Amino acid sequence: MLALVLKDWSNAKNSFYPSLLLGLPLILLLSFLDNRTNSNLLHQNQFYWLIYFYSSISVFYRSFGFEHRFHNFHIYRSLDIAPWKVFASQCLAHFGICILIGLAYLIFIPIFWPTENWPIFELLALTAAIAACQTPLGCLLGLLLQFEREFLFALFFLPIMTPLLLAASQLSEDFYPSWVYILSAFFLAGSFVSALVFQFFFDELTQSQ
Amino acid sequence: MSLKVTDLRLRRAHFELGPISLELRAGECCALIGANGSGKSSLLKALLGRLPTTGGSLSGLPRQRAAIGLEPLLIESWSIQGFINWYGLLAGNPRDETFLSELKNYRSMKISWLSSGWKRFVEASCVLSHSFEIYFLDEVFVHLDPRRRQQLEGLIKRRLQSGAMVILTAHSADELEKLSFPCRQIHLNERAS
Repeated sequence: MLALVLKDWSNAKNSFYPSLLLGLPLILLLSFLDNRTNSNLLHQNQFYWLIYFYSSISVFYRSFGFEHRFHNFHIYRSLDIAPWKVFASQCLAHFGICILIGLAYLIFIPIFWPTENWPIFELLALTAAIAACQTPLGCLLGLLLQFEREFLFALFFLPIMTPLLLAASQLSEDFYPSWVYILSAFFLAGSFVSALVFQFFFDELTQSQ
Repeated sequence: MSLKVTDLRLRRAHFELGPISLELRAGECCALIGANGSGKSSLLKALLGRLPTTGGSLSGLPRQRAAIGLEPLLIESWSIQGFINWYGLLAGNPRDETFLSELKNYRSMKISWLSSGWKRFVEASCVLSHSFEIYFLDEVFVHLDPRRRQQLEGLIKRRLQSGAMVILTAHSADELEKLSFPCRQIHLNERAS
């Protein structure tokens, strides 16, 4: 399991800087477009989450791009490594990188939108929760890239993550229990479905050539 | 320890394979020979228990097994040493460093710098440096120059001498003509027996 996590962490880490750099021009652009007179905290939070999800697409896309079904998955199966371990390892590695991406933006964004009320710790905790919610589905979509190289990752990623985007922007403004329930349900259902479907496609991939 | 395959059949989208029968004992090697698309890799997968068969039986498949796929399992951004360490962790058993002696001057090299022949050699040496009961080596000599091929044959021979089973695949019998160890051949375009 440790070997899997190390390899997946390496792939995810290689996606970190490009993903970070992808979001920075967006921060700059949005800070120019932002009407400072109407600027409020909710507005800034929405920008943060938009950039965060935009970069997350890149993390999963690039990271799974480094995988090659004939290289890696085939060998895992010959060594009798269970698909759920591969799934768990991918989730763990990408969860860590998604938190790092969020942390990096939390450093950059207050520079462009300075405010005294920037709830940095709450946003960080929320980023961890959102990262936990999005990684299982992100890993599943990433695996589908191995099936179909022309798979339009972003086309699926953002619509599926819409409830998270809404929950994140609302919860970063105030504590709404209903959004917490939605987030929890998303995490449980997303993880369960992703784990099942991931294993199915993993087996299909290792059988096909 | 003996792997026994009796009248094994499998169906893929574009062909049917079998019936194939073979028996492999400890220290023996068997080569599956066939043209592109003849089902060599599919048969390996079926032997590994990863592809459903449509008939026949398979018994005695060892628990400790390793495979090398058509494409090398390498992480391009790592060094050879990094990959060797990582595979050791993945395999979960100690490696025999003497199998890696040919790599000693190259261990710090990044894998992305290597030619396809070198990648194949690095992966095969690394896998063979770990002790398994059976090795499935899919087109393992592809891309290798005569010198590397000879070295790799030496490593396979050592594993056979220590009692492991080896199943190879190749496109033609000519490729296996001058092997330095005995290897039974099964032609997939003919009925195997």
